[in-house]
Amino acid sequence: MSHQVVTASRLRDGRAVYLTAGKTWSEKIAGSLVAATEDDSNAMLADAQEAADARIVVDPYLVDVTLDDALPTPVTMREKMRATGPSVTYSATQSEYRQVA
Amino acid sequence: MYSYDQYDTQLVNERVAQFRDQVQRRLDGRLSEEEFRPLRLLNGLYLQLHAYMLRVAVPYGTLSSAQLRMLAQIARRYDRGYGHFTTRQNIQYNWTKLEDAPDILADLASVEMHAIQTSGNTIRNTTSDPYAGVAAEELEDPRVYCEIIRQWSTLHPEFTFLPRKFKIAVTASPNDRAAVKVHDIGIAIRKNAEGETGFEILVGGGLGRTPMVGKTIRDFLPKEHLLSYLEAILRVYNLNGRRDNKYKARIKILVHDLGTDAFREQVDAEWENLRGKGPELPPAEMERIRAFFAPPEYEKPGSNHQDYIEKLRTNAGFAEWVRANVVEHKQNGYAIVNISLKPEGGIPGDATAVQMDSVADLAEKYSMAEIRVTHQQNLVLPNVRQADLFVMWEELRNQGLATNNIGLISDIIACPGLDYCGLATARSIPVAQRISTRFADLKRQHDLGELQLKISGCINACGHHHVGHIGILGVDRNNEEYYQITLGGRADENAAIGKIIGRAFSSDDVVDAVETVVNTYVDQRQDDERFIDTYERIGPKPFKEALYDAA
Ligand code: SF4
Repeated sequence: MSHQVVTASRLRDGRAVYLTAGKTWSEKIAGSLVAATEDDSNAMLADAQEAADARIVVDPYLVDVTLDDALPTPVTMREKMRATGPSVTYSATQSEYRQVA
Repeated sequence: MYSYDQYDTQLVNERVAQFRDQVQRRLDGRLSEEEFRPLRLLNGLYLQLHAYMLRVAVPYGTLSSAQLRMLAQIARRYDRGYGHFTTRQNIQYNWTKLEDAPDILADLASVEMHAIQTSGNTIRNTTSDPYAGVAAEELEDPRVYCEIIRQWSTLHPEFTFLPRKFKIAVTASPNDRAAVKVHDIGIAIRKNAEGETGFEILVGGGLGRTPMVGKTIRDFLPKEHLLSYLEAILRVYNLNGRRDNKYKARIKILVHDLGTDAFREQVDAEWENLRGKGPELPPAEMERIRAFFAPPEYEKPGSNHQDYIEKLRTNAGFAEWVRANVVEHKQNGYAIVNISLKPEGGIPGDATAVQMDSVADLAEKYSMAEIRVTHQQNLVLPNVRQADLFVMWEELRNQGLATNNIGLISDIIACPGLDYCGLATARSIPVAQRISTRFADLKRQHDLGELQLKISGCINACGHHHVGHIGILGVDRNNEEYYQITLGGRADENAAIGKIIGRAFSSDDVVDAVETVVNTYVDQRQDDERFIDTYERIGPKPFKEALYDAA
């Protein structure tokens, strides 16, 4: 079996997040827990489902990854894009972005 | 412009309060995701690849300066300082949060806007000619009927769960800028032999997996019957449209499977029941709505008109911008100004909050505080005095908004594609950016002339690739992006679906392939033929040979 990580969208802000070893959720795929066996995958998905029931995340699912120096990289284009964020610099003036509290 | 009456205001405010409660119940666990999803979609809130995306309706593409300023403020306060204007004349925010959504909707409601029916299997925002009300050749302002349709279709209880989404477009001009032939229902305002104006009704057009050009089912519908006839069409569709297969659920499939004549008969039978009894349009109501769209008081061209002529003669940059971006107005001394949201290498349709604010200011100063959004993902200032064009151009230049490429190869329509969209199979935006950069030389672009290039990131065809003179569709091949090229599509009054020219190109090769297509046109064109004219004259063969034979 290929390696897998668990991803989901965070309920409050919809950000793509990944299940970590500490059963927390990280926006970075680098920090995710990697399953090497089907049993691992199932156990991780069960943990993720608990987080969905607890309204932390939405729609968790498994993502196939390859390991590159222990760094998980998704196989599909779609999951690559979710992991890295848009490949484009949004708007010519990205630097204008400021979060107003 | 239309302005809300007490019913509109109440409806929109109640909707905000209702959604605020629904979001709260989702966050505290009283609603599950399964229960909540359809509710958020009814309010235009999607869950995309990276975040929630909120799609806001811009009714028939018309905005006031105050509304555009609010859109800018929302971009700043709740998103990342920009928004994306779509091919349905709407705006999307890519980075919203669920917990902010009720506040965003409340802010929108404060300027008479909302996100109702921008998603789901409902009647979506009715789209129209971005030059409505000011085009020299139009019969009358189509927005009167768009607004009537908006009121009729908003929260229409019978049509909230249609087999699939439903899009209506209205034009009143012989030059169709609203693509009425590729909508579920297209409405073209026409004159009959007696000189009365009424509607030609087309049904069953659409893009997506099974692109089709709409069929006329009624040549001339008297105005007062608009709503009863639309209701008859929607009823036939609601009852008989397929619900078992999402890909066969649009009305185009029903019309195609039944045949146009049989479909028309069913509509007519239903209409017999509704006509005079269903929702008809009393003349007084039509006049009430029409009054909102009454033409403003135009000034006579003054003496400074001479300055404008002089500037055109002496400033080549200005003259080029006028030639590409400024369109004849019905009123002598005025102009329609297109503001391109396609700067070289930019993201088609994106505008920053700063740009939105400055367009709102310019509209206030020079265009009677009115702005239009086009389905080409640009903006329009519809009422500019010719005498003001030069100063306005200088101000646009300062904001990076004076790209003079309207209708040219770099005026690309592109959907968000895999950079944002959860349904995408490939990216669209980077391809658009690379093509725009490859053809950056404006002199070359002007030499190439009108050329509509449209890119979709999947077969849903939000980027209208089927009706691009050159269309590009992103596909996935073993986790690599490939791009299929179609040629010969058009979205105007002679709408046609483009044909796939051959096997797809890799991401690395697709821009070269587009250039090969363009060069083939240049080699083959006669006189001042446009790309589409040459293609229609010589057919796909020379393009195919140029693309594939050398390899
Ligand atoms: S065409 Fe496909 S990829 Fe593009 S916006 Fe539509 S659904 Fe998304």
